[in-house]
Amino acid sequence: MTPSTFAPLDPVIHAPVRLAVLSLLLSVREADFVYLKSAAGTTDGNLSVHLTKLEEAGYVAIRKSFRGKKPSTTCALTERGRKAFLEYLKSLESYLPQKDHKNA
Amino acid sequence: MHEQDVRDEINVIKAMVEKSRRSTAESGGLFVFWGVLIIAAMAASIILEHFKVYHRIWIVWTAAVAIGWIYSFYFGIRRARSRKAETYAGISARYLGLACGMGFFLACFLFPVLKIYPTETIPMAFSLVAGILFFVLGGLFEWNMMKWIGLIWWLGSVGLGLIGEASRNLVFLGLFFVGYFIPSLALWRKHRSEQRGK
Repeated sequence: MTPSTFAPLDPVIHAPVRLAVLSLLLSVREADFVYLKSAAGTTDGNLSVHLTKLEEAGYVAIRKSFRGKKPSTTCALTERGRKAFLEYLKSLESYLPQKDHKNA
Repeated sequence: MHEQDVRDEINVIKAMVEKSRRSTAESGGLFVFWGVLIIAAMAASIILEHFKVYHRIWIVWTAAVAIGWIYSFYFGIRRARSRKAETYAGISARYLGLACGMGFFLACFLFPVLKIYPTETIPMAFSLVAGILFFVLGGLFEWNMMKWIGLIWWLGSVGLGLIGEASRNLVFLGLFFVGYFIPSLALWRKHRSEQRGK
């Protein structure tokens, strides 16, 4: 396989924390900031930076509200984000040998 | 990008999807509450029957159903406020709970009260709806024990229909303990262990 046959990877998704966040959001309708931080194993500041990038790209919708007196940030994958993530998975497959595509 | 990097990324995706997909949204707390409520109402009905105060039995069940629905509503609001992530399995389980709750209400309370069918059929109707509840929950959370409990309820509904009325309530009580309290406690324990693991 030559480098020209590799599909380009979306730079917005191609970062460990952003990839983890999108993977988590793929199987939930919405998740709050604390859950994402704990599941992705990152810090408040780091997650905040990555969520902003995902929101700017239109991949994630962020809603800020209050639960009682506590502020709460809830994130959900947008339709655009879902499509971009699935495209990213397809692109990843092109980096694997042909026989592994089914197992990936 | 090296092949190993791709595999690492795929492993991250798999791990994250599994993490959110497998979390049991149902805590089992509401199941236990309804179980205690139903046992209390059954005990009260048996006592009232013993003293031949038959006309008061429906008051006991009306009160139990009202308390159950009010608490369920309160529990739902409280859980929505504390929920960290809303999984699709959790959403399905919530709608299943509501649907079966309505099924229990109609089949085991309203229809007998309206005399659409006799009160003797309540144990069979209850078993039928409980079978649906536990079997589908088992499917949603990929938990075989729950599916077996669902099958036990369905077999129980047939068995209850075949045995005599005299022993039906006693057999139903045994079925209720095995098919309701055990899975409710198992659900509660599973949820607790998942919470500790987070």
